[in-house]
Amino acid sequence: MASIQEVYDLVARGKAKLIEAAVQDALDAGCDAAELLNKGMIAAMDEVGDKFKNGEIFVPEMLVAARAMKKGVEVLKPHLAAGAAGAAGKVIIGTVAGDLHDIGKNLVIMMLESAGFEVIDLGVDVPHERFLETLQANPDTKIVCYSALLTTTMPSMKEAVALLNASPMRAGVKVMVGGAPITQAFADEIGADAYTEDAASCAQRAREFVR
Amino acid sequence: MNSYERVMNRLAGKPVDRLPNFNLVMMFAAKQLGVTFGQYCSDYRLLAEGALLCHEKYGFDMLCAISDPMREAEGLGAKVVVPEEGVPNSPVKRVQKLSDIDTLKPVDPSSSRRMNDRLEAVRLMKQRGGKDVPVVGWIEGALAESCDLMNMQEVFMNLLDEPEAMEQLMDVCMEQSLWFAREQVKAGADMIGLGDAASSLIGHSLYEEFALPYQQKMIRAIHDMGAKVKLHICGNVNSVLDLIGQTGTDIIDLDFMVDIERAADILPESCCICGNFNPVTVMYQGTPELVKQEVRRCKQIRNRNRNFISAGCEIPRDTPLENMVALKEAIEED
Repeated sequence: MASIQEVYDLVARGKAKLIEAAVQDALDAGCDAAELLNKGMIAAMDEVGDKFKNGEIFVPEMLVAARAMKKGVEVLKPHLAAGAAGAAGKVIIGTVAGDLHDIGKNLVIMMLESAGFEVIDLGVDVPHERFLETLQANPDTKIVCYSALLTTTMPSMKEAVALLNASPMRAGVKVMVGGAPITQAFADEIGADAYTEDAASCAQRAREFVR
Repeated sequence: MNSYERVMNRLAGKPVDRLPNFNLVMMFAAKQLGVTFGQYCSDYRLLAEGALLCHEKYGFDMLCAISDPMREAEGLGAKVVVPEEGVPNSPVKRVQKLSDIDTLKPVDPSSSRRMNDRLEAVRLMKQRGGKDVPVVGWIEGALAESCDLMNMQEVFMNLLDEPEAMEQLMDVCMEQSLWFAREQVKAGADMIGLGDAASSLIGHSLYEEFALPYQQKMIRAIHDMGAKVKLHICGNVNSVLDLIGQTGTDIIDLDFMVDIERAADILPESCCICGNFNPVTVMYQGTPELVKQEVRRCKQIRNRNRNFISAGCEIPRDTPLENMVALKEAIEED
């Protein structure tokens, strides 16, 4: 019989091929779906995030863990209350206009989803207005995240955040920024609410914002 | 002492009048020439002109043919877009599924437009400055090139899921890159830059299994061609320094997040450390005084390691010129 602990281990070790059967087994054995999600999968991804932050595991291990979680959640979904998988709130994220880099952003998305957020991914090279339009269409959004990897697209991030800062919708959301050249000082300068150094810290900070 | 003597002496552990200035420029050089980055990546005359300008004006001790990572990918059949401003890229990856790897075939670099353009750049650099300044060609490492051809996340997960397929992919990449290196050495390159930044993201065990053997083979092959190697792995490599020490590279570029004192402890003395101040907070956002402080910090390992001075990665496009002057002055103040 599969247990919460087993599901936890399979997520932490990124065993996507085994996770579906294990989750199903655990459900059949009477495990509570919400408990499997929170204590099995989300808790496992927290550990993965911490290990990543501490340099104990690296991008490939994090990718397969997130993939395993996603597969597990698919099995769980019909058993969860509507919206439980994204219960922490809605996040809009994108790489700013002119910048095509996405792996950092994608890691952030994985950690945010694993922390219980529903994430709207606008992709890369996102025009400034797209962030606003998406926010307008999703007024229940809690956080808007901007990513940039290049020094040459830092001004683009500044413009994108300025556009949101000038909008009346700004009051209802937190703005987070990240990417290799970004610093706390730059985040302060452009009027973002938070800068985080890595994907796990981003998810942690996002949780604090919605707490 | 000219740049050629300075660099070769430093590599050999012999005396130098000052440490070599080994900064990498791409977008910065294009901006100084007043051309778009797209033009810079497509016209070897501009690439050579940019390298000569940085040598003459800012005291760089090499003429380097680096511009962007997508030259080999183009040869291997990727559809590459060269935007006017921005980095060349392929919006649709050449390898969509594992079976696409079977269709990859290395080509003669002189038959591929932008690989040939780099060969021409090396030739022109050698002709214009090659007696006094070493000419540095550039190729992609096997893992980096794999990530140019296939989505990086897919490559990384496949290192765990489908290691044999990834080795097959890396073999083709290595073959193409080494062919490219050989032609650049024939064209006059004294040194080959080997860019393998993706390997900074995979951790110790995967580095040992996948990155290290390819880097070792490629470095040995380039040495056999008669050229030196500058291994460029930007990013955080603190956890794999012991493995980098086993690659056999002549120079390792270390990014700003690496502790160079510790690196000097771990790496063999024959492996020159090149680095490692923050390109963004020091060069792009910092003051001339900060630039000088950071160069002085990097000089502290000069007697423990045959180090070269540079930022941790490319000098940002919009770096203030007074910082470039400060960089030159700080290297020269001994």
